[in-house]
Amino acid sequence: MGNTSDPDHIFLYLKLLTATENSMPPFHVFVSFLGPLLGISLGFDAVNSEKNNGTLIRLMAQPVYRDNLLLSKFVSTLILVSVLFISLVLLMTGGGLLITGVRMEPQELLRIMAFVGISILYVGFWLSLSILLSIGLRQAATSALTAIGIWLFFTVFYQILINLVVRAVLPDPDFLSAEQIAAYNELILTLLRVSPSQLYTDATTTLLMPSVRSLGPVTMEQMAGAIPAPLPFKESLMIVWPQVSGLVASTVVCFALGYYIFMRREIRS
Amino acid sequence: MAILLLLHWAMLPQPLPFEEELLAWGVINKMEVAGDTIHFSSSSDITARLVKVFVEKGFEVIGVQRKEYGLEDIYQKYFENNSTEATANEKSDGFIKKSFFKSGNPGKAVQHKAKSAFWVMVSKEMADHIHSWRFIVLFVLIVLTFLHLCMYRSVTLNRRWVIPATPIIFFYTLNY
Repeated sequence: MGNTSDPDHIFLYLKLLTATENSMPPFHVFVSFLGPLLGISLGFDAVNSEKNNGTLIRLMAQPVYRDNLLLSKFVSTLILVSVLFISLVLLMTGGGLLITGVRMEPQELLRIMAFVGISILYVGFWLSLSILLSIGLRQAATSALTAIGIWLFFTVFYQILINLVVRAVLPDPDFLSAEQIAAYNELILTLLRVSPSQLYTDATTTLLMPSVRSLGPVTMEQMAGAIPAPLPFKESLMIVWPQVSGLVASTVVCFALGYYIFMRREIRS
Repeated sequence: MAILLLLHWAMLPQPLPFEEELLAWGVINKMEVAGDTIHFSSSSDITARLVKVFVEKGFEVIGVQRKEYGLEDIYQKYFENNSTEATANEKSDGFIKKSFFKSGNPGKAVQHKAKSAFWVMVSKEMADHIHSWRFIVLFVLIVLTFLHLCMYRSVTLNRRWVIPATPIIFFYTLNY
């Protein structure tokens, strides 16, 4: 807050979520690690454990539609996660108000709520993936390990893999023009954005740091005349809209695939 | 509990002149007058009190029928007119469609059943999660992380929030 050269210094509550000290990563980085764990742990045995315990047949013997079972598993977990995140944010807001006595800007509230929404969406993606795996794989332990493996791959190994591929395939930048370098950078970013964690990080960073104006390389021509001031909420939302759409799409795809498999599966045997 | 009171009366007045007095007892959920019979639905057995009141008011009670609803009746009532054949293999009308669009057939009882069953299952799943150790552990982990971060940040921010002693810096801060 004391650093007046920082354009985000007026947003105290956003600083609470994004400020980094030497030893502590910001909260949204913690959520990007713990959120997938939450989603995976609440969904990895959603269907296969019911089937292995014999409760799925009993449940389906009731006058309940089959897709309601899947929907209820997804919706109930999302409700819990939403309540958890919203409570934490309200706690943070209330605590911040009590400790500092600084009024919260409406824009800050909107940004924090959008951050909560994207966090819920991110957990929803991992939840739908783990439900899909719990439908596809018979053993709960297998589906848990597979889901954790996918999470680890996208969080840790995917960036390393992309770096390796880029170093192997990309020509020496010394022999490239500025346009070609920009095009290659764009390609690398696009490849990185296949990872849901990258989408989440991009989206939350932009929303919680109003001074972030672009998520890709910016030319000097584009920067000319730009005032180093925080962006309005709407503009930040427009920047992250592709990331949000990507997260929604991947969640829907995973859920739809799980739905398709579950509806056509013989569950009585 | 349902109580059917048969009275020797051609046509009872509607509403009954002492209807408010009866409803004031607080145990009568529903009261229906049809011809020479009155049907009461109550949360406890008030047969004796009812008969006493009616006799005192000059009515001639010729019969009383009591019925307690068992689990079978409740189940039958809840799912009556609903087909339960192979429901588990069927697809519902869709959560989004039901939530955001009006049903094409408003009289369809299955709509009500599907919605109720869905929310019952949602509640059951939520209860399962809340009582599971893995959720509790993750919940505690996230809450502790969050609280620790918030406290840490608040303390750091408070330290930086101190107004500088020298007036020059003070005015510099105000002018920004």
